[in-house]
Amino acid sequence: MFAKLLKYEWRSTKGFAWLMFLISLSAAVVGGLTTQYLFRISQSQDQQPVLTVLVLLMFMAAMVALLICAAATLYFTFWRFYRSRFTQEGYLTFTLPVTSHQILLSSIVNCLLGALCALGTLLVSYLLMGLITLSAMPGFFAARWEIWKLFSRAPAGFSPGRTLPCSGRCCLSCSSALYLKFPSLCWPSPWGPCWQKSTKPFWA
Amino acid sequence: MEEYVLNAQGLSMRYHRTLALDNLNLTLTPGKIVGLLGPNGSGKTTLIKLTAGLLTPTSGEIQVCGQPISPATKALVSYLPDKTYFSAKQKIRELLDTFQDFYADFDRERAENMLGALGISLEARLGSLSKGNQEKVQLVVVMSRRARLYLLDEPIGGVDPAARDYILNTIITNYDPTATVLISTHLIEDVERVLDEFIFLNQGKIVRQGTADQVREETGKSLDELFREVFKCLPNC
Repeated sequence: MFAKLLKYEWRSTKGFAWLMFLISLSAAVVGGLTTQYLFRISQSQDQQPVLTVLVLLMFMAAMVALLICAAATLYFTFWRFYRSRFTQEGYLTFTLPVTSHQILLSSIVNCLLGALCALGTLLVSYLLMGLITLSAMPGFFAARWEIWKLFSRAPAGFSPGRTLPCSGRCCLSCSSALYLKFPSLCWPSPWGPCWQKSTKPFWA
Repeated sequence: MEEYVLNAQGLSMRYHRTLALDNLNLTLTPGKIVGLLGPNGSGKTTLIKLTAGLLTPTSGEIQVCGQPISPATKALVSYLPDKTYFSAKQKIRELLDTFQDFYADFDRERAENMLGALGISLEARLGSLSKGNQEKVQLVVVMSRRARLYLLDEPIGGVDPAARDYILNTIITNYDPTATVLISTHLIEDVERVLDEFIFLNQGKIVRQGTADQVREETGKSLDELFREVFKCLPNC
């Protein structure tokens, strides 16, 4: 019966959860493409300030959309908890042939799963955004074999003694490739690393 | 006692200062359609909710088929509230899936046939139906269970006369003859023809109880006329 309760709760929330997931992925793709553009424009001599500002606004909108999706998923999970217990739907919930403990536990599990989904979606979105951004950097292609070797080796013979040196070597190769090619990324700047190449911001 | 479908002894329910049920004693035997009749605020819905397990009594005890209220009795009771308790965004098919999952006595084929006869598509969302059709869908789903006790709270309120006739015919033709149906309503004229027994409830107490035929033989009056006589408003009402 507990599994059926969880199934019932999932059936009630899956539509909204999938919608938020798709919106998050879309925002991640937009975010990745905008950072990719910003990175390329920072390397280019042809500065297009108006277009750059528009792209920057799109990037900010994508970030806000990601956070709103995560918050909305969490809010919807708790709203479903309220609706299935304290509104007319509660008549169905509390007349089901299950104990009150099972009802409460299923709600708690559903809320936790909702929170994990929100967090997972956020992480996947940021990862996707990062991959899209990194794909514009030449150093990424040099490091991708190291990354692939790390992940393909890890499941077969995972152990801290073997994985840490591999991951450390991967990080070193990635960062060294990026540092040698793009020193501006690694130097702190009041305008952020992307603006290091240009002598001053466009509005000055 | 297990021979009784419903057995309430010394049942009282208090909402803060309001005493909704006052030391009520009631037994229902199997195979009857019983009308729970009374004016507004008499305690009809409270009694039904206590039997359905939605409320805990302030004092007294209540048993369904010889068992205290528990998940086991909820599996024996089919409850129809006065308002729809399904989500408006759900498809009819999903409602049937839910009932099939939780209730072993749910007859899905019967429910689908009845909905088909009403011309209601299983892919339609509940919120897209008219109020009358929503009531019918809910009634079909509830009456498609092979329960021991059906609790119908105001099943014909707020629908047109043709829909009322349909609902009452559905109740008569689809309930298990060994089960008991408890109908709470104040539309007595419509429901009188289907009732075997009646209970008049007022201010949480049973005022009168008996069979509909007995009333007609003894008094020559219909239940509706008797109700109006018993619950006649005093001049200072």
